[in-house]
Amino acid sequence: MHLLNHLQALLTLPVAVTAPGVEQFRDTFYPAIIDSLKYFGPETQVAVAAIAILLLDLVLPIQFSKHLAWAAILGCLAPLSGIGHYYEDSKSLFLGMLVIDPFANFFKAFFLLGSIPVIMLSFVSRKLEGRRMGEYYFILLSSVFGAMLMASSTHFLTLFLSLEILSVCSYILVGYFRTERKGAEAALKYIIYGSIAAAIMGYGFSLWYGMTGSGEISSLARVFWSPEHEIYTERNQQALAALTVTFAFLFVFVGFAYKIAAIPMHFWAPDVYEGAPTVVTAFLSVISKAAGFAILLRFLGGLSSSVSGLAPGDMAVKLWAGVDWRLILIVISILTMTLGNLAALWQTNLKRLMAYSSIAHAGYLLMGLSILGTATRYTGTQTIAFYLVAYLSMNFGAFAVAILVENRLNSSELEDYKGLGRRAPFLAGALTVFIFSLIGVPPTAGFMGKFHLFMGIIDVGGWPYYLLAIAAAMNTALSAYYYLKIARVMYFEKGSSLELIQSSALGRVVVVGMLFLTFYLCFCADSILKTTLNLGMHV
Amino acid sequence: MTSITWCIFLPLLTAGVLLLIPSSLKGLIKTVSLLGAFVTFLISIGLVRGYMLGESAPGGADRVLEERIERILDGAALGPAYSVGPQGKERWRADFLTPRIENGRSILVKPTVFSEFTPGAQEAWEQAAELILAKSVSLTTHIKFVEYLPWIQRFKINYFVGVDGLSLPLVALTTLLCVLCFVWSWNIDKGTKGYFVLFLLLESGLIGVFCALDFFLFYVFWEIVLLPMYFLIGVWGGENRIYAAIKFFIYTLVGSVLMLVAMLVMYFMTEPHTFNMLTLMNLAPGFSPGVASLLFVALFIGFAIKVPVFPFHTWLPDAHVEAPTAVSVILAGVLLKMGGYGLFRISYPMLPGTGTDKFFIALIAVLGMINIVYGAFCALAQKDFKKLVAYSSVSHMGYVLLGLAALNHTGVTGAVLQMINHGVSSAMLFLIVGVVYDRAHHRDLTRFGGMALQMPWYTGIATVGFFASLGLPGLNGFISEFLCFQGAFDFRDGATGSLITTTQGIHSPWIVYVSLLGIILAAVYILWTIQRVYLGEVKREEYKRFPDVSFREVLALAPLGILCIVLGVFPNGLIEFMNGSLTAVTDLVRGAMGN
Repeated sequence: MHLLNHLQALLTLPVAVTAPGVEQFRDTFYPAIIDSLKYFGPETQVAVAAIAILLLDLVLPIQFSKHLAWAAILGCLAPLSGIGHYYEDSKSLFLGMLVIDPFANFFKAFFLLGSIPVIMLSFVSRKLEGRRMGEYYFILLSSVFGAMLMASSTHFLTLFLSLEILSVCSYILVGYFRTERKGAEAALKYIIYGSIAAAIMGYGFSLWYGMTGSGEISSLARVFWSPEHEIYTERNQQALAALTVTFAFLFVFVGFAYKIAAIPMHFWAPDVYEGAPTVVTAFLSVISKAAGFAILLRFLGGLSSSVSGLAPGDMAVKLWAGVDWRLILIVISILTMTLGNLAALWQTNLKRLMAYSSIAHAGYLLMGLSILGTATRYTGTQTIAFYLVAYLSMNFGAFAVAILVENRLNSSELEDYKGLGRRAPFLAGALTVFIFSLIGVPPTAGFMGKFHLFMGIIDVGGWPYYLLAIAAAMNTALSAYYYLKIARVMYFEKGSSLELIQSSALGRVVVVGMLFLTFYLCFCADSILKTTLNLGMHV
Repeated sequence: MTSITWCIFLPLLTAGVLLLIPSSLKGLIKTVSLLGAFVTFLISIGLVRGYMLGESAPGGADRVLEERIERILDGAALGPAYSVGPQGKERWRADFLTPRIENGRSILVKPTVFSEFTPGAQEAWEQAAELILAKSVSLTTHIKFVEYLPWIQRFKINYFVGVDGLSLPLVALTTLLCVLCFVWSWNIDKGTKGYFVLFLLLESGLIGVFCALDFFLFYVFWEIVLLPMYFLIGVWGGENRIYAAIKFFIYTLVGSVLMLVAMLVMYFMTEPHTFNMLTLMNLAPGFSPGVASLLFVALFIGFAIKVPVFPFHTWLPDAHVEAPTAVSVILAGVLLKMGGYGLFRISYPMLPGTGTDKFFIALIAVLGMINIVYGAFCALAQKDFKKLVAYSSVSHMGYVLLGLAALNHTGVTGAVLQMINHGVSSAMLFLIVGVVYDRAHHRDLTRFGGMALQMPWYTGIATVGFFASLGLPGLNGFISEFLCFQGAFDFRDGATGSLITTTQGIHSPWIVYVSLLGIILAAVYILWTIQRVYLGEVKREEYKRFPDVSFREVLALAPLGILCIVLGVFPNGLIEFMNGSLTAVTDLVRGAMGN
């Protein structure tokens, strides 16, 4: 922080200027930018850490290269103090490009803390052994940087940029092993889907811009609810505007749906999850998805009360033919969870199965989005934030076990998990806990998360939400089938080998940590809820 | 920690201890588990004895709740007008927390000056109101050994446990059966440690379900029961165990997620929002009939799957056939009772309007009838010994439904008594099947015969169990079946004769006449089984070498046999024990009809 203050003093504009444009810059823009810099500390630190790692790797002998992981962990821990310091602050930064508020800070901390297990797992992953790791951690931290920006961007420009930073980094991570066919194929698919989604989203942004004349998220609601709205008095004109809004909404949603792997942009997920290095899969399924949800919450907040200043539960927020946009989300939510679960039923590869499971969980999380802007005790933001923490614990836990097993067996086929209950009692037991958490059985984090989501939608009431609740409930039962398949092969079926599977100490530390978190979030939910129930967005 | 908390968590604690023991020390593992289960049993007996003190039994719900209310009010800033002295608190309570009685329900409305309160006072009001409404339910006076601790305060979830005359016998049954099961499981050699850890976890879950007085807590324990059961069937089960385990899990999960949704709807429809089961018994009856019916259906499916009620019963024979003997015992003896218990603890008192609704009464009665007759016919057709016993369970649980549908004191007493009696006799039957299976390694009824010659002691004990199940007078089954029929038949029972007029049209005696067929069928399949297994010629040479029951087997079987006789001859002690609580619930339900 001190460093930044010095920097600020250094940058105070010394020259006397006369031109009006420059004057305006000097008097309004420049101070605003300089003032914003001190809030930008955490992002700067991550960026500095990333570059430092890249440079450090040039001089390090190769056998020490893997220890750059510790530098990366430091790079994730250091920014936390800055985030904690400004946690309660709520203001617009860089002339409305970014924002700092508890919501953004929560998600930044989430990304940083969530990256630590990823880094630790990268360290223990045998697949990454014996390579120069500098660029790997550089890219990993860069994607964290992108995710952090996503949580705080409030302008289409920053939104698009940050999304692309995360995406481009993810493409590289997925195809990190150039020589592997599956990885390369996955990366290519990921890029193609990503570009299409980005293009459609960009088009959606342009439509919004055309209607509101502003790129700021907070002005989105203008098309629905503002004095300007009265311009559309003619019936057909109003209808045209509503149609445009509908398409703009859907186009932008497609871009985000790609990040969270929701219908209709979920096709990439199974191939990418299977083809990518397992550590990267874990990263994509949690951090990247969480970033997608953060940005979606921010964007849809612009259509509802949390950002736009609309009255809670305002039904003026309508799309074409008077359809509430939340209704669209409900439909997408039901479709996503059902399709994810149905497709997962037939999977025989753990990574592929987890890919479909992550689609299904995106569906559950969309439940939280569908209650945004309704007047309820538990808002969509709270439920999603809590669920993401729960999802982190169980998904990272499951992937940690998968990585530790893969280290020895060099496979993630369920077939090879046969008899794991005897070969690796601890890992199998832990995976069982994570599985039950993913199903949503108490006393685990997954249950509390789902419970919280159910609370949210049932509090709103009305038949679409009750229908959603029933659909989610039935999906929970449906998902039990394929999750239990994992438990089944581990315990009920005999494997061909009885050889014990050793796992590294650090790997077990990650698993124990996730186990602890899984139970902690259920038994001591209060302590996390204290944070997640207070995630104000800057208005 | 009170004794009830010990009772719930001692098995779990024992399981924790087991995890520390190396899995090669099988003897030690078995001894520790048996010891843990036995101490739990002793605690539950202590609870029963304590409960018999009546009014002076420790931890009365009304007293504990009152203390809690006082503490909440003490801790809150009640505003300047009420901050002076102890009278201020009393005045605040009198002004804002005096319930109004409406249609037999206590109602508390948020005071109009509420917005002027400090947030602390508002919160205190909500917390205290919930407890005051809970206290006003008449059942409260029968609940003892209560423990009330805050858990997840932001969702108003509390660790609220206690027992009454309905749940305590079931708790005692659970702890007893678990001890016997551990004795029985002495011969488990495959994965001993895992088996006993899971079994103890199961016991904790089961006791928790019966003790929970917070709906959320109830749900948590309800689900905890699922997990060990899945593994116990899946790992230690028979040939087709994987199919049976997954079927059991998914079936029950479907029921319980519906229950979760219903629970949340109830939570949000009450004011103040609450998971407190006693408060819900007070407030939920105020729901509109449409909502109440939907909730009733959702809950009913959840409970019906557990009972199991036709047509949700298909998981039961599969699970039973594949499960190891001791697990079958718990499954039939306790797990099925969770359904009946749920109906009587949750559906009836919370949604009494639907409980007395013609349609639902008729539905439950008819389903009960189908269970009795259909289950008996299925049992008749079985060639597998264990499947026969499983279907006889379906048939016997039908009596519970019939008694509950009758909704008078006789019927309800019969139903609850039938749950306990069935817990004893079906547990015994499964052990009896286990004895012969351990020797012959098959359960094909057509291949047995003449066991009485080789194993006279075994045959003697088995006969007690079979006749208890058949409903022979003098043994326990007779009493409860008789009471169920009497209740379902005699509509004029009880203080309010009006029940006749509301239900006469559908709840016709014909249901009872048809159900009576079940008694005859039971006699047929049971006598035929005795004949096929114990009487006649010895069909195979190797059967002649079968040893008679071992000491371990007698140790597990004898207590149940004795219970069959004791409960058959002196049922009055148990009936008196349950009387207060059952009357309170029955009155609650009938009170909701507006007489």
